[in-house]
Amino acid sequence: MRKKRAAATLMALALAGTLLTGCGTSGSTDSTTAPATEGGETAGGQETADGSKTYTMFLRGPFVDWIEELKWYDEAEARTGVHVEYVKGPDNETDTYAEVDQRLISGTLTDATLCRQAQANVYGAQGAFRDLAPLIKEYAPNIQKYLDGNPDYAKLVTNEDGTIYGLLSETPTLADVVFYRADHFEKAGVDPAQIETVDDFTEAMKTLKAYYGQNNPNYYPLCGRETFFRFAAWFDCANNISSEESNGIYYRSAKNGMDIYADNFYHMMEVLKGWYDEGLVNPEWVAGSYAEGDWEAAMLNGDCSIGYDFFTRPQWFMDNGGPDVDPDFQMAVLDNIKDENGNIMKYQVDLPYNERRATVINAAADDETAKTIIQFIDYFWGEEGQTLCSWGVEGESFEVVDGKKQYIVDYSTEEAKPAGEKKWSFLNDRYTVCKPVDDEAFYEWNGDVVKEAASRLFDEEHLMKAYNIKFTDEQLETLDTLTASLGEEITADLTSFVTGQTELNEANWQAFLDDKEAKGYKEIEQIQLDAFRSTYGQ
Amino acid sequence: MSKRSKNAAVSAQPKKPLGQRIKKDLKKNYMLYLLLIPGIIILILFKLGPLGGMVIAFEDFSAFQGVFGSKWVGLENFKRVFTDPYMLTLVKNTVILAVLSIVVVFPIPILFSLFLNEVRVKKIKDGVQILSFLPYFISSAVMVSILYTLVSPSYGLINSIIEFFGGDPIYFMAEPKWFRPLYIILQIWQTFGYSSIIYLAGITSIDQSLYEAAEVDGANRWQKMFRITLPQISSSIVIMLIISIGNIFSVDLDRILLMYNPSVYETADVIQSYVYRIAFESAGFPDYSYGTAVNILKSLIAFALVIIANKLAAKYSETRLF
Amino acid sequence: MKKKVKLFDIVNNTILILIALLCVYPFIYIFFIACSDGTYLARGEVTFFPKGFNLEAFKYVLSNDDLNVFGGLMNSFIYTIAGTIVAIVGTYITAYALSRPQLKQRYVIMGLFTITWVFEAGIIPQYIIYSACGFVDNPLVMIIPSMINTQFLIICKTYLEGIPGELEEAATVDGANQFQILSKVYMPLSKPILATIGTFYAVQIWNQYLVPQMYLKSDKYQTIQQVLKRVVIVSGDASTAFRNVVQNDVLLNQQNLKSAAIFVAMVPIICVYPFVQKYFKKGILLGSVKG
Repeated sequence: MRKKRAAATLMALALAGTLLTGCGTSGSTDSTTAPATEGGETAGGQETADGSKTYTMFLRGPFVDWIEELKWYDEAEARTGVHVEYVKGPDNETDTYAEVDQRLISGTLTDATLCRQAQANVYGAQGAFRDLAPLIKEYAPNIQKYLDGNPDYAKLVTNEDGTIYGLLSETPTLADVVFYRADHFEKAGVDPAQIETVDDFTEAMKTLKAYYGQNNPNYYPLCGRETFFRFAAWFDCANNISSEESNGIYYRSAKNGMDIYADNFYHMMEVLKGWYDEGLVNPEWVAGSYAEGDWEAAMLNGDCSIGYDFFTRPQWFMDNGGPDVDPDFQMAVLDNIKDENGNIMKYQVDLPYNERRATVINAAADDETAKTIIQFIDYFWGEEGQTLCSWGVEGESFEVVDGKKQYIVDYSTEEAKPAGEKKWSFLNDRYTVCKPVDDEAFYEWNGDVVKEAASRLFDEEHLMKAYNIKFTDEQLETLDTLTASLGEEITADLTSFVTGQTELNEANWQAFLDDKEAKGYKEIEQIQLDAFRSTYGQ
Repeated sequence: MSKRSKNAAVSAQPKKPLGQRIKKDLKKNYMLYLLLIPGIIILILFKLGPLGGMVIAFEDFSAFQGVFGSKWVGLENFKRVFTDPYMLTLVKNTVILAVLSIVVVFPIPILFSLFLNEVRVKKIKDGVQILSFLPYFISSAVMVSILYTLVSPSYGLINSIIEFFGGDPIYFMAEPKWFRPLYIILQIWQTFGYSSIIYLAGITSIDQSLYEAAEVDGANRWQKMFRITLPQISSSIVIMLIISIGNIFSVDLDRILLMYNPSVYETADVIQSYVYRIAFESAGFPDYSYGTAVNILKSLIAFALVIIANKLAAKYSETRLF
Repeated sequence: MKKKVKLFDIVNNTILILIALLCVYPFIYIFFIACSDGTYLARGEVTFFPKGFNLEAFKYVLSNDDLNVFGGLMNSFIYTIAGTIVAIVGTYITAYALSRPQLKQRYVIMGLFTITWVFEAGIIPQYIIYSACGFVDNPLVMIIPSMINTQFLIICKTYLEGIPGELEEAATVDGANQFQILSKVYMPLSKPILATIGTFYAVQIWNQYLVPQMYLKSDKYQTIQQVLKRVVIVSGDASTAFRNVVQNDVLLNQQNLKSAAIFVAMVPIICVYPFVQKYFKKGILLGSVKG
């Protein structure tokens, strides 16, 4: 008897609880943003005391730090009279975008935010984000002009019903580069010019290991951060896509993707395993337990001679303490690896438009705020804004000589300023909200090591071409779900082959391939192919 | 533990109309009701509320559309649980960790308290006991941080020792086969002192005349330990064992989340960590509905186990667990 | 015979002392690493004892704002103190009300507490409800929802039921109301139980990781446990907070700094431990059913 009553009460209360809290959701749209703004009933679109407009934007943590260091950005806010209150998110991208989901649940999303294009479109269609198309038409002439002039881009961001939920940022043409300690090479007697094939590279590492490893148990010629599996292009195993075929996971990983079914892949695994077994590559990096700071410390302290990372990195090490540790410290960038026949292996590049950086406007933001946001973004797409973010202020950071712009501030001095201090910086990745990129200015704003490498290596001969593909919402959701854990799983499996936990033999390899096929690998490839065809035609 | 003294008067007075009775009750006991308000709010919002929230297991929950706006999909998510091959790994990992903690961790505090009871110097006895249960109060974050420091391949003490004896450094935190041993070692370190307190309390209440009688019969210390002390605390042991079995699905989620990384998922990923990950750390769209469905099934089994354990405990001794 | 017994004692005592030391050695080791000179650490010369003793690492981690170790400690202190007070009051008055026989609904309410304790809804529905209540990035999440722990509620209620009713009757005759009975009669008798559940709540709030990790996103609200996770336990793609630094002519490397952060995070517990361990012991004996 009592049991029955208890059960009934339980049900009733549970229901009441849900209803009660359900009602609580509405109206709590913007709790995080309130302190920053004047008045603070609704955060957005408020005119502050000095007459400037303001809105809030949630971004990945480091992005906010970067923006706050940029001198030209302050100038932009001053000129437009808009102030953006940035809300700092987690350090890494996955966590940041997971927090966007969570902020949607709790109704604490800021007026604007960055998210994945998939999130922009799926949640946008459900009504979470504003349709930008009418806003652009009305308030953003520069963006409209760009859309008209770049049909590929327009097609990519516009949905079938004509709505635009997320604006993507443009990526400069660049790839990761292989860089090395030139002084180490010289002392160990390795001639970088002689390194042409993968075998040469392996031999060079062995020489380095013999020379530096004899007194330093922590020395490994090659080390890095993030994934170790970034050498696919060297072995012709990179993911690729065309109207004929789709190989590997292209969605989300154009730059580091692999085609695990490629003919040469098994050979690549043997080579990588060889590196691991002979102590040529830092095992903690392979295992995935090597953090960025560990890697930087190893590179600076001489526990490692070669890196394969973002192209600005060699200069970064020169400017961030390398020469303090060792006066001889000198970085240089290696040419692309060639195959046995002397053909240059083209390296992978990022997509021309970054699908993981879609700027969206919260549907809960009022009209005035939405207008402010789109106008502020638009500013960077116009000539004045473009000049400002690529070159800065005339007379302060650049001058015009013979009709050509030149920086009058020094790259190394500015970039060496400690974190938190205002500086002139024109590294494109520092302002992550969408805008077009001036490639020329982008290469120009770099140290000598990088400028030289960019002019030598960043062309069609050395780089692959990447394609943004327009997926339907349904395809996006499927891809998002399928790739969410599969990529991670493949990395984990490959790691266990390299470290020897799983023996690298034909049988195990086949089992690995079968397992991935069962988990939707081929399905992903098929969706990519269909979408590619519908984007670019047969 | 709660004594359920049935109050006969309560059920046998349906004389006056309901409204009047409520009024009278309120007038008499309003202060008690006032005292109950915070408790009731907590109960409804934070304890029953989430139970109501479980309804999303039957939906295709969208972060934006919320509990009331998302599409109803019925038992779809539950069907998926039974066809998902990864579930097998998860259940296996969860159960293996639980079985290991019963087989390996469980006997240690019993032995420890048996031997500790033999210590005649009170200061040593107290000192040892106090030091041994200190780790129970140190957070998982600290314990795991220390573990990372101790087993680090480049500078950790453990690997220094291995290298000193000519071995190669082991990447403890990145090798799946090391996850379980490390988890269990932390478990022992963190809990054995704590569990032994319960046994020691049992030992102190043993009737001293038993020992005196045994001494007359010429029993030595070992015999007294294992023939008298151990059997005398057997009911505590049985109760603790039943509790452990009842809690077979509760793992220390903090510890796992802090210890694991993608390269050890194959042994480290358990139901709870998976649910957490697909909902809050997903690289794609978060799968709240599926995660909730998985969790409901887990909770149902765990619930049944705890109820059975409670029944068993009541049978083996007078104490109920709740 | 007598000699044999003595040998047993010596061996037994020694082994048990060693085990006890082994339990706490890692904590001491962390301290030794933190206060050694980074140069010796890098050379692998520090094994069992500190070398080049200094306290620079502690100064560094506590004074560096980016690391947020100090901020995390302060937050954890505030949450723990506020949370413990709220929890003691909340649990105690609820337990008191539920222990009164004149409250007819007490079985239903207690039953609901028990059911929700045994049957876990899981973190996802919990997140949905909590976030609807505005607990995301709100420090109150450390204080309000965890205010009543069912296990402690049961312990507390059982204790109150064990207090003889004559005292209450005497007070009632003198015309005392329920509030007065609670504060004048029961409260003074409940000090030991309050101290016990109080210490348990405090440790629980101080130590918890998942709740702050899920709800407290801003740096300014983070607890020391979250800070530790961020600066010590880093996964592959996150940036570490530590680089080698030279402070007052002492080289501090990652190892020093990480160890210093770990040690700082456990010091508060270790400091209060000797004073409250007897309550811990009591609490453990009062009942441990479910993790």
